Amino acid sequence: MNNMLKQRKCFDLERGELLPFLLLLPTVLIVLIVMIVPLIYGFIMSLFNYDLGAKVTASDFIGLGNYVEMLGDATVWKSLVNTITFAVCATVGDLVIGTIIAVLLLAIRPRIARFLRGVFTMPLLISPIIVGLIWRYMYDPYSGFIYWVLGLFGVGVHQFPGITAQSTALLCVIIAHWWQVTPFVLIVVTAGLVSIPMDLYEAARIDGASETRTFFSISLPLLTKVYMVILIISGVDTLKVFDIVYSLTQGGPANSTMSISIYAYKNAFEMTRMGYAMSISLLAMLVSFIMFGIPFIKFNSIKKRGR
Amino acid sequence: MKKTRVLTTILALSVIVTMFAGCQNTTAATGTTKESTTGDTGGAAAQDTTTAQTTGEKPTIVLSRWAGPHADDQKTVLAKYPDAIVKVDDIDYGNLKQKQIQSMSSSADYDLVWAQEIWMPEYISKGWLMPLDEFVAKDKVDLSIYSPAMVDMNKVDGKLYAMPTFAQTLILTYNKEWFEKEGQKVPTTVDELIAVAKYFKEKGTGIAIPAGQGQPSADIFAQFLYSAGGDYFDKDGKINLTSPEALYAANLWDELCEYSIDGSLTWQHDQVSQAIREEQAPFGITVTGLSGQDSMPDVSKIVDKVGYAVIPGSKLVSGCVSYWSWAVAANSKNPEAAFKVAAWLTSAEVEKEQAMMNGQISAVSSLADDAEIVAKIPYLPATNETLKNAKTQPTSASATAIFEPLAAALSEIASSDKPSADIFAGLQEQLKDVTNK
Repeated sequence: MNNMLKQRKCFDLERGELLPFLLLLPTVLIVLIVMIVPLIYGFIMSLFNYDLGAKVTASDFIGLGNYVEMLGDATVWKSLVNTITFAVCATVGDLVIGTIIAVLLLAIRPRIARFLRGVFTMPLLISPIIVGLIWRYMYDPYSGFIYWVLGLFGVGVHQFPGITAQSTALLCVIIAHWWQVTPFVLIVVTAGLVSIPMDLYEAARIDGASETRTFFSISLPLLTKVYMVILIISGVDTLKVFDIVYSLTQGGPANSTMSISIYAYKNAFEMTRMGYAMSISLLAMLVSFIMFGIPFIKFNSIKKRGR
Repeated sequence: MKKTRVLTTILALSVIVTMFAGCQNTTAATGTTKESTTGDTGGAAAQDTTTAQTTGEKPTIVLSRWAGPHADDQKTVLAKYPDAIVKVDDIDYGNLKQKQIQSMSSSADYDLVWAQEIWMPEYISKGWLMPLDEFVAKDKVDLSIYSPAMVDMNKVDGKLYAMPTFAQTLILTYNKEWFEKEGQKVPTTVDELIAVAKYFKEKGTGIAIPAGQGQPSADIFAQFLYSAGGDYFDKDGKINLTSPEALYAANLWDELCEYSIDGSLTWQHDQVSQAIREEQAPFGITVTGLSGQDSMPDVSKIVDKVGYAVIPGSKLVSGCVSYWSWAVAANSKNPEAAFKVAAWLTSAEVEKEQAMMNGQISAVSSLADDAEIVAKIPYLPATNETLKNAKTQPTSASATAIFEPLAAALSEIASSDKPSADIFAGLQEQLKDVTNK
């Protein structure tokens, strides 16, 4: 009897035990309405064969038909491979280049570093679609800056075909992405580096450690959490890549830069196949979760166990 | 303890109030869709129309079309329309169809839509367009002034769904001075076309073609296919991209890409026209819709040097024509007024005015021989010759599935050494279920 009374008192208003749930309720509602409901809706619509603007009827239900079709669609797999390649290369490049620049800027005079950091941050303020257009002109074989520079070393469009060849087009998109996103990594890594206690570096210097050893033994391990944040934000962004590719190559040549988002978009709005586009989008979401969601969850659980 | 209780009660009440407020807003939004779109043209249109109906003022008609210099010219013309206030929602071509579908299927932003011929079957079959026959009869609009082929394309089951207005096709644009300097003649056969392209390629330039992955490449392929006497479909209506004519067209495309100017493999129509206008390329395959800019001194260096010719065909001169028509949205609040705008815009006088402004190729047949227009539009003779045997891209509902894979296949031909026959064999397998039904 006493136990039952205790259980009833679980959400005792007088004891204020309902308060945490009420405080959480708006967030839960927002997450439910903004994230979970559209996700479920998207999954349900992916089970229908319906066109953009058309009314969906029961006769449009095809079960897993869109998913079966997706398995045999070579462009889906090509765009998936492109997207994963882009995500891995772009994210690794962002981290490496961003870290190198951040470390170098901390090693020079603060006034110059502040100025350079400001300059390097500028591409971050430009919309990806504009970045794509800028780089489209940069890669122009006649008037582009890239070919002007390459020309100084005797390299022309035949040696480096840029965005006109299947072999180099994706690399060109990745370079454009590095140019835009590296500043974000630079800012975050700089913040991470300055938060590392100076006495650790002083101790290492007293012990006679070199700059390289100090970086790999002190800075890098202490930046793990920072890298995890970057990996989640930037990594998921690269898997959703659309604007920069669309404005730079439109997925060509021969689908060599086709991303999964662009292919979903083309199916939805050019071929008006909304059901199929939904199934492609859900595949993209699943890949994002496997590549970045699961490692993030694992990282967090390891951290908790560590505590 | 008391404080916590008060805080909990306040929070609980605010959650309930917020939820109620949210529900009320939803009701308001669904009940009055138009008012919720304040600031956008659709909402404005609906409000204006309602006002017009109650006060007897001019109705407001909102039309949807692609953006660019042509749209700017059309706005100038529409400002003179006496019987309605016409608002133009001009957006990028890439997003046009999507926005039109959204409007016609739900939001009812547009009264008039400018639709391409390949979109018409879909728009009509889904009931998004209004048949115009009643309005045509009531206003005694003379349909005989238009190209019969274009009128026929806008008819389904004998009903007219759109007023034809603007045609475009592909022609050769060349720099006369450059050709003279190099001692080259304008190609009149396919072999000459290849030879001239090869000559200029060896000289460091080449032919400018829109070989980037996209619809323009599919249009050029269609032009080669039609001029070889071929078609996408066999006599049973099944797709056949491994026919001798289709493979001939694919090989011709391959050769032209080989002799194209560096950079062409990522270009669309805009870049091709620009390259010729800026004397970067001596000649190229261009779309007539952009040819008007060749004679504008502020954007063109070839005003006095530009020449036009038909693209030679292996069997006949045949173009891939694309045309645009004005259609009244079935969910328009003011369809009759919208039709009147369409009829006015496509009248012979207004069509001539627009042709004189920007060199558009009109659907009004008599304007093809109009002396003033012929003098104003130097590419008109080449265009008219191309249009004589011109055909559109396939317009059947399933045929829309062709273009994306075809563009990718043509891009692969352009950017790889793989034989075009192998690429087209794969394409045929991919599209084997497509028919012209």
